[in-house]
Amino acid sequence: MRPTALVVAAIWLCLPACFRGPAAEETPLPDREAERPPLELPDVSDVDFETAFLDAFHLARSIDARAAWTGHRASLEHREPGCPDLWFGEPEELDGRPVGLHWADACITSSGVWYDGLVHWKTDLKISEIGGLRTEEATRELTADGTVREGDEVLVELDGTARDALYLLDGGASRWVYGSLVRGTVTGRHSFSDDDITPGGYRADLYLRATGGDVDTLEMRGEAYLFGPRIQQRFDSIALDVSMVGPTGLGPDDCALEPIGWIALRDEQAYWYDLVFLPGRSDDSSSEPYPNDPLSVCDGCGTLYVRGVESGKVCLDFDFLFDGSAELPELGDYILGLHDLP
Amino acid sequence: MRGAWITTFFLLGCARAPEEPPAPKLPDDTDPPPVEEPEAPLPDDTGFGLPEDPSPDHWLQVRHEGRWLLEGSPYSSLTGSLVLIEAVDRPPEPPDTGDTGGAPRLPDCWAVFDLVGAPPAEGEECADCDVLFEITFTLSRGDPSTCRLPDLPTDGEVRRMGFSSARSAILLDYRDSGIFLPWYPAQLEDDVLNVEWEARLGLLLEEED
Repeated sequence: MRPTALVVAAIWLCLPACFRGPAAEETPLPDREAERPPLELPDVSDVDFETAFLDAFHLARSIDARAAWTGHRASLEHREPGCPDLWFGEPEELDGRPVGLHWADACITSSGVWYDGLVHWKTDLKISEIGGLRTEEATRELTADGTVREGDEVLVELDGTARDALYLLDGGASRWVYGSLVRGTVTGRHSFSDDDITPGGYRADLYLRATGGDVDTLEMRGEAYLFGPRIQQRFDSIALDVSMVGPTGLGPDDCALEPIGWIALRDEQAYWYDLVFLPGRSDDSSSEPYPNDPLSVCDGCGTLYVRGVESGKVCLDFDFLFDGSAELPELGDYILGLHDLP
Repeated sequence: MRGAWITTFFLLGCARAPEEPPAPKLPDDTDPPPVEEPEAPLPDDTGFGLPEDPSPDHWLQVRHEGRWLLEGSPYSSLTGSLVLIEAVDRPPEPPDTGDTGGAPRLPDCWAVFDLVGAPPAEGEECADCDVLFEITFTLSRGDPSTCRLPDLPTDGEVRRMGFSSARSAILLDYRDSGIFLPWYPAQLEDDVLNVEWEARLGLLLEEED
């Protein structure tokens, strides 16, 4: 046989393989849905969801920049000349701008306190009077990757960013606004006592904004890991996206009994329990578009989903929210310059 | 021979016929169970790397000093000066005005303010102060604009400052907030307030080419 004939024969043999359709057409995929084991739902007979979600709500509301600042300020009381080194401005890792102060070191004081890492902080306070009304604006920000410890005990560990801002009009009587963002880990004895709602600290990415005076509102968004099952000895993480208007700011379409949004708890098996209240923004993947009865009923109750499976209703009493008991930071807490270091 | 190459080419091409696609992975409803963690994990997603002991290459040395004369009984006036000095990598000393034959060596920042103070209006209070003044700062020499530290006085600024013997300090009404902070260590001797404050800070400087 001539070589050319051999080539033609080989091509002829290969062509069917080249033009064969997808194998899937010949061998249908198995029906995975049918093969999938049934979703295992956890035993929740001993869970008091009402208390658990309220605890989660209180806990989330307690997560703001104050604990990080309290720990940071207290940690500076152990310093001595040269340990840790104090620097002017930002560290190089934060662009090195001439703003604020930072410490950066790996040292031990004569009293046995270790400083390791760095902590940068900046504060600002503006006072103005316009038309007889006094306005006070205060901000502070911590950016850190530092630990201060005494022996094996962590006095404060800050890793990430904690910042907050306070706005007071007429001393807060006419209006106050408090906003906070904690993005990172905060632990240590100087930040948390055993009586705290989060004695072990947290790793959080949580935004909070509250207003009072003329209009009461509260917004919280984000998540927090509590380093253990702090809520009912079962849940170690919370996530939420809620907003609520108090009685002083209620519009005709607002609900005073429950928030817009959802609260979620995670147990140690990593199962999520979601409590969905009024549907929120149209781009909120957890919500459904209006109208959406019964989810859109203002009744103080949310729909509980256990691992995504609807599991009844849980009703919470939010009366405590706007009873005037909100505690704001002091203006003096927003001053931490070179002259008044502890 | 050419025919053999063509044949090989086709055979290689055809050997990779469409395969059966992998079975689609079904999404889980919840996260997988967490990995057992013996201790609280430390995050590694928000920090940044650090040298072991980043000692400063440069130091900013600062000194604020003054002598303030108090007069009246009780004290009703204050006069004096405040000298601000900032120096990088050398002691914060005032300009050398001695006869050295050349231009005086200036600190990196140097400014002198003349101070005149009087008791504030009724209602202004400082709980910790023995005596409180509204002090007008007037720039008389130097230029504070090259100073690095914040919260320095400006020319013509009026500040409320008081003296606390209990704290041995001048207290400042910080930015007119009504919050009095210890600002300068001070001692009152024979109607004269001796004020002196020093600080030493690490400083990042852009390296010269």
